[in-house]
Order: sequence, then structure tokens, then C-alpha cells
Amino acid sequence: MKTMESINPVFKMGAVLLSAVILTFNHAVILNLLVFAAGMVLILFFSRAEKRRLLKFLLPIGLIITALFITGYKNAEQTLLASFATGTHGLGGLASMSPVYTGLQLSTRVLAYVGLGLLFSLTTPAEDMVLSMMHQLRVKPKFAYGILAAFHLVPNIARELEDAKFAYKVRGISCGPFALQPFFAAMVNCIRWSENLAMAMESKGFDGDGKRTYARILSVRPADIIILIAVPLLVLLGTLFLKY
Amino acid sequence: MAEPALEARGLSFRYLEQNRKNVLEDVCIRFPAGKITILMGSSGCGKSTLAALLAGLYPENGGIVTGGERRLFGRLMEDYTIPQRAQAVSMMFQNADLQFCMETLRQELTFCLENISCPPEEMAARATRAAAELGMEDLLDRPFTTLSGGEKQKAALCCIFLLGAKAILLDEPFANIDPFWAARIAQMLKALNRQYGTAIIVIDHMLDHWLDAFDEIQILLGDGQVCSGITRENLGDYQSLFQAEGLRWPYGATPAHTPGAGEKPPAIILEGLTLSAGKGRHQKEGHPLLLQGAKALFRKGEMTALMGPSGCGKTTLFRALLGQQAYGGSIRIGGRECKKIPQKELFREIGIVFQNPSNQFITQNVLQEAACGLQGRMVKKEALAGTELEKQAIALLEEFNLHRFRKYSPYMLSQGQQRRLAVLSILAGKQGILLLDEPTYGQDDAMTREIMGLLRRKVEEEGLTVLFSTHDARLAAEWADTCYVFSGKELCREDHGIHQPGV
Repeated sequence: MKTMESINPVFKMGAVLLSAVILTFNHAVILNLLVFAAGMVLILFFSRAEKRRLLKFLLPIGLIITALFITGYKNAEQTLLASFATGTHGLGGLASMSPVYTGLQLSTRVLAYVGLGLLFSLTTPAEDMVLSMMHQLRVKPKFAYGILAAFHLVPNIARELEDAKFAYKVRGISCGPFALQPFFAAMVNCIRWSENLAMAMESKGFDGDGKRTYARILSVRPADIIILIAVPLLVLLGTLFLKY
Repeated sequence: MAEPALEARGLSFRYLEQNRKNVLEDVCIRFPAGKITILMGSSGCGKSTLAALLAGLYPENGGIVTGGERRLFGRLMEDYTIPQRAQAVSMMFQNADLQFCMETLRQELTFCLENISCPPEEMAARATRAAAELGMEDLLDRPFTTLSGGEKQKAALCCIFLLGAKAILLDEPFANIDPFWAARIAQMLKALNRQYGTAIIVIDHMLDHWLDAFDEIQILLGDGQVCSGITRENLGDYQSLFQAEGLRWPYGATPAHTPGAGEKPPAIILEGLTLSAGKGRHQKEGHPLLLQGAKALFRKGEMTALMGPSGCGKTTLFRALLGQQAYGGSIRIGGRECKKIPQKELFREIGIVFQNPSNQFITQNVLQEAACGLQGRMVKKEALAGTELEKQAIALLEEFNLHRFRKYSPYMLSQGQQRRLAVLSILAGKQGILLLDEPTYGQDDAMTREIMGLLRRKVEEEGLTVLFSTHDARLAAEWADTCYVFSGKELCREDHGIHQPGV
């Protein structure tokens, strides 16, 4: 069975980005929920993505969505009360002005973006993305491999930051979870690393602008083009025809 | 004379246009093809810079060549394209973590072959063959993040071998790995030299792994002079030069440190200690056990060395002593159970110097760093001017010979200076126990002596308790009163080469 991973990454990204742009004009809660649900179904049943990773992302996002719902709800409630008080409230917009509905609009829109984002990121290997950027978007290897190298450095950066925070603690100096000073130490090291890594790549014959061969060339199949057109089109139709 | 593999003629180099002095001045040096050459020199003499220049990585990636030329197998460096150059000379770096841009060795090998425009249909076979030749098939598909430092250096060597480089430059390749892996990789390099005539040029401050195989030692002196022609036959004539340059002499027993008379009271007692890998203050399932039922006793006013292969748990033990790691059994510090000591109190009692000192600076100014150490809290630069604290901080910097750098950022200091500053700022906190994680990492002999000597003085004068981890048996023998080796999930006290489990 074909999985989400087999779609050309650049075309997959195009479909996701276009859909996200169209969703910004959407007011229908149902469409937002449908987009999110479709994303989850595709990740869960049509991809090789690790399900545990999905859960790791969804838990904190769930909290944010709830907070957004409450914000939207409270805000709309106040606006509604204010319009009743001043007598400016018209009869037509009653449904759309309902606080619950406004809260839902705000939170499900973010949920839809999350669904699209996770669908792309969890089903696209970094290496494939970079290859596709070079082959389909004609991005220079220097840039593309730079991104890939930086991506693989992320665990080191996290470790470095942890060490820097530990250094503060051991010296008896308290710093909050969002203090900027430990980031400075970590950043200095990251810059040093990036220079080191660039030299190591060059030492292995990597010429960012020169000629190279490729073990694998990611091709574009008709299905990729169909996906690029059909997915945003479906979202557009949803935006036009779904009312709530 | 045969064409040298690498050659510098009258080479001068500086990092920035505005620098007053060149890092390298009129250097003339030749590294013969097909031979194993060791390049030595004191810390900061420009060995690594020279290596990066001869590998073609500078000035393209930084700095300015202000004079002279570089030749690679007789051709000017500038006449090579990058892929051509990689097939002539390739470099292996000190930090094994920063050599790969892909996720696995197989991907990295493919990346190397793509770089040199190898036909795609040949790639898979060539990559597998190279890995098989160096006995690394089992590493091919494991993510780099799961490999040990030694395995990563081996993987880096595999890439160089695959590129077919006729000369390999190695910049302190064993600085981060334990003696077991260092010996294995040195063997592989020697085999490459014998079998394929690959020129091996190693920067190393320890000769131990090369004594039986090197063809020549060259020493980079100050002012661009190079002392060459040191061979295995005439090495004995150069002992005084080694000493003068602060280089470690490979022969002869190190004067072992003799512990003072009389038993000193215990500072830390480990009993039935169980530690598992993985960071965290809560024990997690699934992490391998590093220590099980271990016993040890670290005495007050003594220096104790902790030895063992990479990943055996030295750093984890330090984390446990600082209350940052879950443990079973008992750790008693000054008679109290470590778990029960409030964290703040623990940090007042124990200080740590990290393996990489640049990880532990908390200010952007050397003077401020010393002042923060003294005060135990952040001190603003402006609030420091003219105070008693400033005077104390300056006195401390003078003691550690860092006074003239007081206005510098700690990150601008050399490795050795950074380590001295790290030790200083921790010592200023007046903790009674000091933990040092690999204090000799990336240091030459002279620098090592300076730091260890300084600690020894503090131990003797102020009764400081020092625990340091190291791979270097000679260092342990020379400086430690007691030495513990991680062996079979236990801590074995090593007295005159005899293991004794526990206390």
C-alpha cells in the first residue's frame, strides 16, 4: 500500500501550504474539524510515522487549543454583553455571535493547522525533503545540506542548553525556565559547531556549488500533481459550501 | 627526495585582518608521502591552524594567508577543486559529534560518493565494500546519535577511506575517546598506511599510540621554526627539546605521587551504590546499569582519580553526587545522605568543572566571572567598579595568571585559559569538594601540569577534596592519592596496578 511517505515532499508541502492559506478565509467549524480528522487518519493509518511521537505533540497542543477556546469564548461573551447593553445588537448574527461558537471557531482553526503541519512533518523524512528541494525546487546543495546538517545538530543543541542551565544551578545562581543567559552560552557553542561541521563536510569533498551525482532522485508522479491540486481544491469547496 | 604529500613554503596566516601578529609566520614544512608523521607543539602554537591550511579548509573557511604557498602532492592547493582535493587529502577532526551531516553511516558514505560524482549505480556496492574492509558493516544503519565517541571516529575514518584519500590529516583524533578505541583506530590507520601507502599526519600530544609505527616527528616551534628529522632511532636525543616545549616525554616511569602519611577522614562514602544511565533525578526502567552495589571512599584533603572507558558512568556519578541523578544504595557526603541534603546546601559544598569549560561560563566578562564565583550570585559589571569585590577578583585572576584577560569575554580565551578560569571561578566559591570531568581534555603537558599543580597546592594548603575523571593512566598515577577504576559495574581501588573491589 502506498503511504504518505511516498508523496513527493515538495508537492506535499505545496498542498499543505495552499490548504492552510485557504483555511485562513474559512469560518466553518466543521471544515476545520474535517481537515484535522483527515490529517490524523492519514498519519495513523496511511503512514509509517511513530504513533507515540504523534501523542507527544498532541498532548501540549490539546492544552493550547483549550486555552484558545476559553479566550475566544470569554471575548465573545463580553462583546455580546456590551452590544446588548448599548442596544447595537442585530438579530441576524445571533448564531455566529454565540460565545461557544466563537470559541470553537478560534480553537478548531488552530487545530486544523496543527493537523496539516503534523501530517507533513511526521510523514516526511528530512533527507527526502532536502533531496526534493534540490531536485524539484532547484535549491543549491550548499543550502539544502546545510539545513539537513543543522537538523541533525538539534539533539546536541538541546543537550548543550541543558548543560548551560545546570552550570547556573551548580553555581547557586537561579534562573527561570525562560532566562536568556543560558541560551547565550549554548548559542556560542552552536556557532562554533556550525563552522566545524562545514569544514568536516568540505573535507569529505562537499562542494556547495559544484557538480555532484545523486544516489536517489526523487521523481514527480502524476499522483503528486493530483494531490497538489485536489487537496487545496477540496478545502476551497469546503470553505465555500460549509456554513457552520 | 620523493614528492611530499603536503608541503607549506614560507606560509604566513592570520585569522583577522586587524590582528597584530600572524598565527603562523613563514612556516616551511614537508610531510612525506606514504609515511606516518606526528606533528607536535605546545598549546596554541598553531598546529591545528596549520593542519586546516594544509587540508585546504583555511583560508576558504576563515582567515587570511598573508604569504607563502601550499602544495598537495606537488600541485598548488588552489589548483584542486574541492572533490579532487578530498581524494588527495582528507581530515579527521577532534570532535566526533561534528563530522556528519546525515543520520547514518550508510547515508554519510553515499553523501561522500555523491560529492566526488561517483556513478549512482556503483554507490551502494562501494559503500558496503568500504565498511566491510574496516569491519563496520554492523554500524552502517545505526543512527549516529546511538554510537559511542570511538565508533563515530571509526565511522569518520570509514568515510575518509571510501574517498580514497592519499593523505589523512588527524587533529587530536583521540582527545575524546578512551584508550581502548584510540588503540583500535590507531591500528586501523597503521594498516591503511602499510596496505595502501596512505600518508598519515597526526597532531597528538601523546605519542603512546604511535611509538611502534611512526616514521618521523616534527615539532612546530614558535616563530615559524620547525624541528624535523626526529625518528624512532634518534628520539632519545630530543628529550630536552620535549621538555623545553612542554611536550610529554613518552618514555620512563612518571614519578608517582606518594600519598602523605596518616589516614585522612572520609569526605564521601559510597555504599551499595547502584546507578543507571540516562539523565534524570528519577530512576527509569530500561536504562543500562552502570554501577551495581559499588563501594568507595573518597578522603578529605586528597585527590582521587576515577578511570574507566567512555560511557562507564564517570560523569553520571558526578551528577549523582550533585543530586542530579537517581541512585540506589547510599552516598554519604560529610556523614549525611546525599538525597537528604537540600540542593542549595549541596552546591555550597560541591563544585564541578565541566569537560567543556565553555559550557559553564555564566557571564560575558572574565572579571565578572571571577566576581560571580566569589559572591555566589550574579554581579553586574557596573556594580563592580572600585569595590572590595573587584579587588578580590583581580587578586584571584592574578593568582591564576589570567589578570591581563580580565576585560575579555570568557569565550575568547584559549582552551587552556578557559579551563583555568573555570577552575578559578569554582574554587572562588569555597566549596570543600571539587569535581573535575576530564581536566586534561585537549591540553598539552605543560598546561595539564599547571592546572593539576594548582589543584594539588589547594589540596595541600586548604584541605580541598578533589575528584577527577580521566582516561589517562599516567595522569592518575602522577597526581592522584587514590585511583578508582570502573570495572564490571563496580568501583575498584587500584593500588600499584592491583584491583581491589571497594574500599
